[in-house]
Amino acid sequence: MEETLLEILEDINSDIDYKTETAIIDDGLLDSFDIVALVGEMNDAFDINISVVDLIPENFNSLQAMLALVDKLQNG
Amino acid sequence: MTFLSAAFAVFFPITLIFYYTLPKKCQWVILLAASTVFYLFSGPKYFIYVLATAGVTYGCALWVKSMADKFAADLPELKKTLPKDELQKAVKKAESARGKVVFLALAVDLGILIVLKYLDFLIGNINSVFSLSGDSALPTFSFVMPLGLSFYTFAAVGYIVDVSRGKYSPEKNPAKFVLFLTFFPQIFQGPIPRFERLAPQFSAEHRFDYDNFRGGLQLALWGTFKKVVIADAVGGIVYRTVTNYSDMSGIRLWLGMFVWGIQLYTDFSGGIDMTRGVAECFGIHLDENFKRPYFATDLTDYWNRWHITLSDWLRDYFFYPIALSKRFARFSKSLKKKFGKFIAKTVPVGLLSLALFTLVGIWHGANWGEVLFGVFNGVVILITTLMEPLFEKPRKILKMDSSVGWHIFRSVRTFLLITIARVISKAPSIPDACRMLGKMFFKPDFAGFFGSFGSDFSFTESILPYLPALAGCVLLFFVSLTEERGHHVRDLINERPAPLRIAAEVMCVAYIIVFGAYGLGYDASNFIYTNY
Repeated sequence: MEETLLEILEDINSDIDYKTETAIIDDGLLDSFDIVALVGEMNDAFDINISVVDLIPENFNSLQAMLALVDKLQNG
Repeated sequence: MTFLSAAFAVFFPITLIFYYTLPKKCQWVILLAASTVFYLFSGPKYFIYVLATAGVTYGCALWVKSMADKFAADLPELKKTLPKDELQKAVKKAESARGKVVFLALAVDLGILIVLKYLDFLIGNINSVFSLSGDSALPTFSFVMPLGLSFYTFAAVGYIVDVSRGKYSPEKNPAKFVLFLTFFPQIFQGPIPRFERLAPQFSAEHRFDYDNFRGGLQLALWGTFKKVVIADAVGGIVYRTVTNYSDMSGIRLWLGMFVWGIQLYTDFSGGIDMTRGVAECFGIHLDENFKRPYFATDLTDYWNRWHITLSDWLRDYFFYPIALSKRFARFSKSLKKKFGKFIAKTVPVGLLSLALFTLVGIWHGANWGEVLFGVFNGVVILITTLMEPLFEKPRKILKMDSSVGWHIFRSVRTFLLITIARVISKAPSIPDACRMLGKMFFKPDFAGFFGSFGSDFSFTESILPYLPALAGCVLLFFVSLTEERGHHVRDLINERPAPLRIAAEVMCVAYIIVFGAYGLGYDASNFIYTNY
């Protein structure tokens, strides 16, 4: 799962070090265009439905947070 | 009653005394009573609109919640008895029923807003399109807008949508909900409140904290400085620019519109500082609405720094709900197949962004100038996004992103772009805006402009009256620069020894008293954003 998500993220913006970055949204590293594309790709890749309520910085600030969100939506 | 009125000078301390001396459990009641009195000062009959919005939103939120609770209670049994497809149908039916209640609330809330703020604009356009005049023209109504109409309506809409999303439970006490919508410091010009951050503060008990209180007064004082020393002092320059533009050189129009940018910022952000400062005196912390917008490096960045609570509201309740919908995803996928990744990523979101900025324009006022102001912003952002790949490589190769010069260039470019947009919204009409922009770009007339500094030029009449405001702008720039570098100026001041801090406060008060734009005919109630 982590590799797939990394591929998606690299494809959207390859300038970010996703393995260490912990403030992807707070620091404005991804803009709204990127976020919409990211959510679409994540929905398709992991067969989940990320809703507006899930769109909070805490869920997208780091790779681990995004993995936790996927896990929650798949198994929650 | 406004922050800078004599009535407020009496109202504010009395409210504070009641707030901190009566039992802590009554504090929210004091704020509700104060907010009601404050609102009634703006015209008792307008309070009925607020109550209508509050009543319908409050009731619908409880209704939606009870429907959701009932369905959640029935769900385990439904899961046991219904096959999967029937269960999905039941879930969709329940969602649809809740959606109808939300729609009812939105129809009433936004209906009041549209009728009071936009109906005359719509009628005027219908009359114009069908060439209706005289007796055949549809009548207009010239409604007077209730104080804070757009702000409390957006707060109510955000609340009902969030409750329907299950983000939080609805408020059970109707009086507390009325307080959420009408809290007196923010009713003037925002910030647009979020229930989950504001409502818990009304339920908390606030002890008097001298440092917090002083911090609130300092913020309000700084806001007053921006409003009275800068915004109100330069208003005449802007007025003359817009009304006498045909007699002015292009370069003079540029200067006039730059001043309009400064006036608008200092008026609105000054008002917000006063709002947040007054609220902080009660221990209530409101959301920030500005983060040094003129340091923005592009228009997207600008709108992330200017009127932040409006941008955030439109993002959460307009942009993302559409952008994350299944229909939108299908549209993006179809574009991806035909035109590739880049187009699929940028075009749909770009068009949605264009629609969002059109709404920003409409929010600012019911006239075509404001609508085009929004469209201009949206178009520039769309073009910027589409062209970004062309400049990505050169930027990286030349390491421009780390260059201070490049940063300054981008900030100046953004300021110029927003200045052009503001010509469209500030000019008396669209043809006037075109003529102004024509002069600004094609007839700068440097010789004529500098020629005006000739023998008939009077320093005493032309420059001297604006020197205090100019000095205020210089101070504002350095304060903003310090904050842009991550420091909090209030903290820096309060860390100094008491005599230095008190001296700074006294100097600020003295500067306001001596150089503030007072005098005969002065009306401090005219906050530009109050009319929105």
